[in-house]
Amino acid sequence: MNTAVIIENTLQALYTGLILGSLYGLMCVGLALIFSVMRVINFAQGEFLMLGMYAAFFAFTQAGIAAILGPYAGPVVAALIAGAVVFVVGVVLYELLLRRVTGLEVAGAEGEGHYPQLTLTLGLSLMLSNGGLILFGSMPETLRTPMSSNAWELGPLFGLDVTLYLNQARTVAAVVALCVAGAMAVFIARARIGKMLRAAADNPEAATYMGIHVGRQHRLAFAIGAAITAIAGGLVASYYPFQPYIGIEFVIVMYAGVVLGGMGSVGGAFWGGLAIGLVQQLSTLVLPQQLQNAAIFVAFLLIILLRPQGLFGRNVERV
Amino acid sequence: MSNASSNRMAPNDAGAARRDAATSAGSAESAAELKRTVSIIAAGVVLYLGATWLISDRYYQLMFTIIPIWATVGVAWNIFSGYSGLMSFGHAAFFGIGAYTVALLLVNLGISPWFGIVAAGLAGAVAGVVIGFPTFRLRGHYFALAMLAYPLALLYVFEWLGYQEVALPMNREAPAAYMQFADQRVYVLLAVILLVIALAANLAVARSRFGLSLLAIKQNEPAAMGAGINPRAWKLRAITLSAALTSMAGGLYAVVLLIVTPPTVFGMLASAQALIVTLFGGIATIFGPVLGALILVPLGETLHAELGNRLPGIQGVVYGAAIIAVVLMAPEGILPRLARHWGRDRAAAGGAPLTLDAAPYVRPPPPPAAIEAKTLLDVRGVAVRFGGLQALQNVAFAVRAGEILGIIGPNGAGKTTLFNALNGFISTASGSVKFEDQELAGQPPFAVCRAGVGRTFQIVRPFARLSVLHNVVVGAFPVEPDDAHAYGRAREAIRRVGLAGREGRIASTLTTVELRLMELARALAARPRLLLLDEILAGLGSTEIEHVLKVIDGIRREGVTVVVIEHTMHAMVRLADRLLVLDHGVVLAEGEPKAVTSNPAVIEAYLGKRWVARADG
Amino acid sequence: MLTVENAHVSYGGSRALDGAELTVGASEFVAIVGPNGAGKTTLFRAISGTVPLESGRVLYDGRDLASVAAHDRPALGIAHVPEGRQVFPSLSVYENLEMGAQSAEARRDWKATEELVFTLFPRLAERRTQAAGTLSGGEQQMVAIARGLASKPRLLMLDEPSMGLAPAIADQIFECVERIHRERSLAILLVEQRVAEAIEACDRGYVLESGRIVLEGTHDSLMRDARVKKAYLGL
Repeated sequence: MNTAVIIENTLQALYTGLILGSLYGLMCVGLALIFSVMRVINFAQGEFLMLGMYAAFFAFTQAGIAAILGPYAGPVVAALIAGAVVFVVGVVLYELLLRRVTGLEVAGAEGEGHYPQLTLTLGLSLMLSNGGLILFGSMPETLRTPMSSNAWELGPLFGLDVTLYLNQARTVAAVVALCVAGAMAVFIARARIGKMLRAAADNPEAATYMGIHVGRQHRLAFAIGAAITAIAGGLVASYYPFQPYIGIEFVIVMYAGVVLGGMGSVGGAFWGGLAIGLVQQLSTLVLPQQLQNAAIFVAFLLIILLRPQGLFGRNVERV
Repeated sequence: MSNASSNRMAPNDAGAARRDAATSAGSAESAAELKRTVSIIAAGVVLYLGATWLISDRYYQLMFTIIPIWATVGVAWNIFSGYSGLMSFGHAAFFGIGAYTVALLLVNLGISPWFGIVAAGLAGAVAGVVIGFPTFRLRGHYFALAMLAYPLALLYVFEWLGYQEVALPMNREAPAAYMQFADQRVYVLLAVILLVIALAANLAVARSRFGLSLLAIKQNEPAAMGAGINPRAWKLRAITLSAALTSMAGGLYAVVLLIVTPPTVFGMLASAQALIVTLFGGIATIFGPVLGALILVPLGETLHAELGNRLPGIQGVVYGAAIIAVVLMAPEGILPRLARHWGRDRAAAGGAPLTLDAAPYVRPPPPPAAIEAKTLLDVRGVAVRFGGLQALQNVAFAVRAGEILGIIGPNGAGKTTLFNALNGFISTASGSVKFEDQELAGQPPFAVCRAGVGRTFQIVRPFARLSVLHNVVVGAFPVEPDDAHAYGRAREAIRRVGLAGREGRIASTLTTVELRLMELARALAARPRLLLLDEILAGLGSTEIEHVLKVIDGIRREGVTVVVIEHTMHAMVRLADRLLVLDHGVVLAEGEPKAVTSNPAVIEAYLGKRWVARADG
Repeated sequence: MLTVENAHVSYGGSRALDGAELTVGASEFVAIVGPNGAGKTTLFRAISGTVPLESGRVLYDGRDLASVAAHDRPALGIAHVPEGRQVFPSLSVYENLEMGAQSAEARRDWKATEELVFTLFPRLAERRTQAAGTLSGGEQQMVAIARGLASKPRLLMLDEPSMGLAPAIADQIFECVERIHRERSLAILLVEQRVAEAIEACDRGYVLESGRIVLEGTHDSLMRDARVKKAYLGL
């Protein structure tokens, strides 16, 4: 009995870890994109996640997506719509605020130049999370669909009493996340705009000599980064209850993932997020519930202190 | 005119000490300023406590208590982040540790908060060292993220430990012994006392070598190291003091609120409040955090009280908006912004710029007897490697006492690398650097400075708001433990570069050449026997160049040996007694300027092989 | 085609350009030589617009460029090959070249550009999918120059292309530059520390020292002028 239970728990944790990891990975991609191009640590990224959740929720419940597309395709489309909405929000925020503290001049300064950005995004985080509290209230919401409480059964496996329960909403969310992450990867690698973003990230001055408007690239990176994380939020909303302060719960996961993957590497961030997801779920096997989050922090601190360049550590210093 | 004064022999120590012993902080203006600040604090305290006395509403009494507590946290944050430039986004870690120390000591061990708060201060200090030690190795973004993570990690740990809500028990028998007072106004008094302690600490730090060293580190850390400052040590001292004060504030907070929960004391809002209060009011100023707390805390609390029901979270929105507004419009905070606005008249009357001695510099005749000048610096076989690239290879030369040696060479030859190796900023793969028979290779930059080797840097970043004297004295502190003597040395250095009489000028009013001379004075304040000048003439106009050449010659005549890196060749060939040519990391030639500049190998290095070939053919 | 009038640039009190002036005519090969710290890179930055002018003007085809943002200047036909190559290290050779062709016209002529570049620099053809950051210094220089050509410029500005390269490779690069000038009849503005090579190849040359033009002439007159050496070595 014991072996079967252990195997079942481990496999379940592994599965959940991969599922959550895919979602974390997508969130991290958004944050990493913003950092690699703009060299901005966006403290408000958790709030973009939150905005994505609410946007998806409203799209699904109020804007009729549920009615039109039903409870299976609905949440997915709602998440994508949320991405579009937050994209626009990102553009607006960039034009109003970020533009004044980023750009060609600041992107080059590694030293003191980044404090204004950090502080600004901190203020933004406070405004968005508390503004959300005012607008949306503090009652947790979920995008509940039949899939949220149904699970596919996989088992018995290995001829033992080992059955895996694959929550439908989560699984679908993870699959969509993987698709979006894949699409981003292709976009960055192949699309002309993707290459321009990479060029602006590598060397803003040289990019200017090519005729690339670095400010515009920053704006695009910020908006896309926000949108990607928002899509992840919209997907998470389909199985996890959320309220306006939820950003803070995930922000450390995002940072841990990005740092683990190597700051400056967008692809690495995805793997970093995935790894964090796995670590978090596997740790449930040995650690009590409340200590899980603390475990992530400790892991994060260890990574920063011992190996700040992460796994795929790109040289964050500019050419 | 400036030549005459710089040629005077440096006065002896005792005389300087006697002259300066009268003014403890180094100058009459500083003592007056101190008196003014203290009287403002005293007046403020009286006013505030008087106003408190008149308030009978418990709610407002509580607010009057909270304001000085956050002001204390702000002042404490300022002591570390404001002066060092390392923004801590995680001061809530110390705040929470202090709160829980007091709460748990009372709940579990029955220890009165009177002792508990002191214990909180100690706990905070320890936490400061424990957190600071590993985290200071990190640069920029990583530092910010790590500091952010500490309080949040503690938040979860404390929740896991079961301390979701720790209530401070009432004590019926001897409430006062347990810091429990029926009259809320007593807490205001306690909070104000704590704030005054914090302000006193801030004052002690601000104009002292503590604050000035931190500022130097903030402005240009490598330059500070080259001036003999040990950044790690100062940062640790700063964070320890800051953390202790913050923890004490947290402890008092626990006593006042009677309940401690992890999100309240370890949460993001607490960290944000610590920094917004100072950012808003004014970074690296004494009263900035107080002003910030006076404005923001009542604003936040009132909004929360009035609108909290209809608009929960309005406090956070306002704080967030305040942070954004400050960053975009007044990055240094309100007080400095206002000061600049009003102080503009004062600055305009900064005084006439330095009269430059524009007569072309003529190299003085060589000293009469062929003195066997001893070798001051002996460099042998120095090699430096960056990854696969050999930046310096088998570099060897000797610097004779009393000479001016110029190091020249085409772009990328390794000149700055050589200076950095001599100074200790980069390690040598092999070779030795003997200064007065003391091996310098392998020593950190501040040790090299204390051994008697001074250095100037290309990027001059002065303390814009401070006087010339304060800018220069930073160079004297590492080698002079006594403050009065240090200020004496600073004045002497200022005289030697010809800026006598300008000690009180604010640095932002100086011209470029005056700033260069001030930088030179800072290096001289440590009384180096060897001075490394890194492109001190870069970007100066021709009359400015002539003036500075004479100042350098004057310094040499006082017995300082000078090694110069310069690109301004027409000046170099007149200034240097000898030239050393580096090319591709190797010593190409050495000798008198005329000989070196006609050396075909040197010409080839600069102008290319084909030039030499053509010129012959 | 290009005129710089009385350019003054300061970096926080330090004067980098102190009234520099020069002209480049269409299809001319103009060289700028001068010692370190003379302000050569600053001059290029001023022309490209990544550094603001304190006073003075940059005129291109008679038009004052002050109203043209830095990222819009390449579209006018100004290509800047920066000092130190400055390739995009994480992009492949091919992608680096693609980044050079931003304007609609440049993208239309991409096929022709591809052919030109890979004929001029066969090494790059072999390495087209390699990440530019892993190339040798000489190869990176080729990428940087090719990238500049991809924008179909009328003025090609090269900032010290030979810096940090072994002499043999630097010679190769030089030959390519001369070949480009001959075959494409672009205007070339070249900054170099290798004086003889630069002056030999040019139609006209300037010597920049301490932010100011101290000498000007044709390649004949400069080759023999002792003041060139004085600008570099002070004596």
